[in-house]
Amino acid sequence: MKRRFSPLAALPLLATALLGGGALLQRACAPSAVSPAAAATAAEASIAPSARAEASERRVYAVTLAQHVTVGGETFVETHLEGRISFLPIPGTNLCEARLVDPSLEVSGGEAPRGADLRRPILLAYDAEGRLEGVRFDTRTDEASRLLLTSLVSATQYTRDKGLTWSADEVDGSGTYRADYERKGERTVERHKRGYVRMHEGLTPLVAEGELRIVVDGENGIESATAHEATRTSRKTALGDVAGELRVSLRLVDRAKATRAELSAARALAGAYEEPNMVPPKRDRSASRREMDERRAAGHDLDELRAAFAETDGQPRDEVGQRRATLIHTAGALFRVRPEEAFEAGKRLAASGVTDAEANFLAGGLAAAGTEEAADALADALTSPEASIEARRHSAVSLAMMPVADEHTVAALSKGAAGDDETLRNLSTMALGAAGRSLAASGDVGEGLDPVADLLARYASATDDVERDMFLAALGNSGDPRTFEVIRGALASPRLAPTAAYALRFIAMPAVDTLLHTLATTSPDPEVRQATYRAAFFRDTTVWLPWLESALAKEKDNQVLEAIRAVIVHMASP
Amino acid sequence: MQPEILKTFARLAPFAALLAAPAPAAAAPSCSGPVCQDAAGWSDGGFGASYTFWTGLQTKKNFPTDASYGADYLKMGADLHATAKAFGVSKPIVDAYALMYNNNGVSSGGVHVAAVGVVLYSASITNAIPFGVSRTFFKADEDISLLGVHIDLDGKVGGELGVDVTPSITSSYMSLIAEPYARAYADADADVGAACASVAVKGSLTALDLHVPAVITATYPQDNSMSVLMSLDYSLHSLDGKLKVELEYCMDSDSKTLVNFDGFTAGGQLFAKWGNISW
Repeated sequence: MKRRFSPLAALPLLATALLGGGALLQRACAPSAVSPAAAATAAEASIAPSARAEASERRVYAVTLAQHVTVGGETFVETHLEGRISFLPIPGTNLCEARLVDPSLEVSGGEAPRGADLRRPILLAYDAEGRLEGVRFDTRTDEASRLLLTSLVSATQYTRDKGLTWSADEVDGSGTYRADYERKGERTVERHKRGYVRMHEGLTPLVAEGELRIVVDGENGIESATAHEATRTSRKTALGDVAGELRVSLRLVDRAKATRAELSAARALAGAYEEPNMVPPKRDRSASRREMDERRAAGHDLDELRAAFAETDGQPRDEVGQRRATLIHTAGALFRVRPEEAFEAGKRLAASGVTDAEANFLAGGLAAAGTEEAADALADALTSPEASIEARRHSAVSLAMMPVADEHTVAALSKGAAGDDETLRNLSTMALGAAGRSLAASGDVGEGLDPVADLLARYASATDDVERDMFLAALGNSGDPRTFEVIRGALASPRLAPTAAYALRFIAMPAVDTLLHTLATTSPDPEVRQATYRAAFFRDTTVWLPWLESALAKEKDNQVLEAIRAVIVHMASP
Repeated sequence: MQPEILKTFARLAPFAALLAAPAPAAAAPSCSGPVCQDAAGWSDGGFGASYTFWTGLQTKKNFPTDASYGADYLKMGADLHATAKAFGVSKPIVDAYALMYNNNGVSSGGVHVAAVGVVLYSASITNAIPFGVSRTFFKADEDISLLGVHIDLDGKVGGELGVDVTPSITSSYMSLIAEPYARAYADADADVGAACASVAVKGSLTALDLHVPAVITATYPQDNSMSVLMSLDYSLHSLDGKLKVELEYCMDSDSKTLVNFDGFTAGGQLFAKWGNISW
């Protein structure tokens, strides 16, 4: 996509910008100096912008910005910006007003900023140490403009110091990095950027290298700046290596004393603009997910997917497994974008005569959807008097695998757990334990909706070890701390101990790890030790991984040794 | 691209010193008498899978000094555990076994099927049980944000898991036909937040396709001897398949194959015996 803004539209702003002068970003917004002697004075003046400073100079720079992002070696997004940018320090504040003037923008493959947003002034905020703290935007500014402007100002930020070399932790749109500065003669400073100390929350880990070269003029104002940064994801993504390159150059083209009206207007922005921020605004992931679902579901409907799945019935499993998995993923997407199709799938599942294969597909698709509507449909099928036993069994399995539970699903599972079919009773009981975990996660456990309490009561009243074993397995699905003492008590029974050991896996209590360690090292039963290591798959890696060293050295049973190795591989996986 | 076949210990560069002995190589299960087991894994950092399985028969011979194992001790069946990895997130996807025991005159058996840690079915073995489901096991997403460009990826690992069981317990022998299986497939969707561009991922990976059928009949041991009829098999299909990314711009489009594993199939009979075993 190519977008070019009309220069005419920018004329009023250009006129305003040319009235004053400024300096480059951070300290560049204050009078600049790079000789060691002059730097001290400048630093003192600029660390805390002085209230006594009444005059200010607007500096205008010719700016070019070029960035491109490659995915798997192929260029994916290219952006090229040309124009002018002005900087106006606001006396008595830690702010500097910056605005793009007459920008000409070409964007290919990425989101293009709105012209009005790109031209709207921004405020650069500095902390007490003089580092760029963040950018303040008008609330109306679109995300693409925020990202582009943040890239531009952060690439050329400059933290001043007195020495010949110095370092500073600076922040850009991705995270905090170490900037190493070095003077190169009287008029030049270079900044070297090497990687990130930490990323902003939720962002892909990146590796970055960059150089900034600043040249000052005879008055210690910044004359030009050129920045080059290369960034890539620190590990190969599913799309391969994702890498980016950013080049920014600034060249002083004009400077002028700011008028009182200009300064007043710039100050007024501070009262209306957002707080300083270097982190890109949190993206609405739901819109992106919906796009993906719509793309996957496009051209499909329930009947067509059902028919396609039915064709796989009776064929060798190893020949149709992949096809079935894809059909279920697609059904899940379809049910999310068209909830009425989920409702229809539930109706079919609840009807009479549904075969095992069709129940497998319908219940699998509803589970893949993971929505409340899908859970409701499964609960309806589970309690439908017309539903085949296969449909009810598959509904119970799906409810066990969904992170959604409410009164309706718990009531349906309770009914299944009390039914005549032994397999359905077992499946529903297991699913009730899983529902307890979902309810706890959503904070919905309450009076009349506490399946774990019910399972504990049924365990207490069980009359034989076969029943106790089943309830223990179900309690293990819950991860509820209330089950800890019951499970620990069951470890005393050789018959129940393997199930009890595995049932500890989700309970978030330090005492659980202690108990599992004890079991792993002292239980004479290899079945119990193996169950312990299978439980360890779900425990905290930092607690277990170092400890597994000694376990591996002491264990003699080959099957248990493989279980230890497997959990080490799993935990060591990057 | 040939998948990197990693022995269990070989994946553990930081932990290599921890491992007491080399693990068996992929597709080369080791059998010690009537007990066979194997473990292996494959990974490229983004996608992968691993498994361990045990199949066979144990007796008092395996626990000669432990008094809790009687002279008539028997354990038979098959046990399968598998993990899958998508977008660097590894999860145990299947834990399935069917095992029968005899010890000091008491026989019992259990079947257990868990997916992603959630036990779906756990019961004593009484009757024939064909338990199998097709489900999405887990999802993993990745948000790539670089120089103002956002790419969202949603990965899914789904497939089939289950165990087919036909047990028989009499006064003189135990018999178990058991086949735990795990089939896991990974694919991905992608989205770029742009009005005039799109990215899509096409294709699917077979993360793992493994089943371990065991047919075992054994008389209860007496005087360190018993009669057996057993056949232990396995079938493995390793990480295999292709993911292709398709990029579309307003005026242009491009595609690139990013992941392409040439998997392999292995399998066959691990152990067969018809006759007497003594120790």
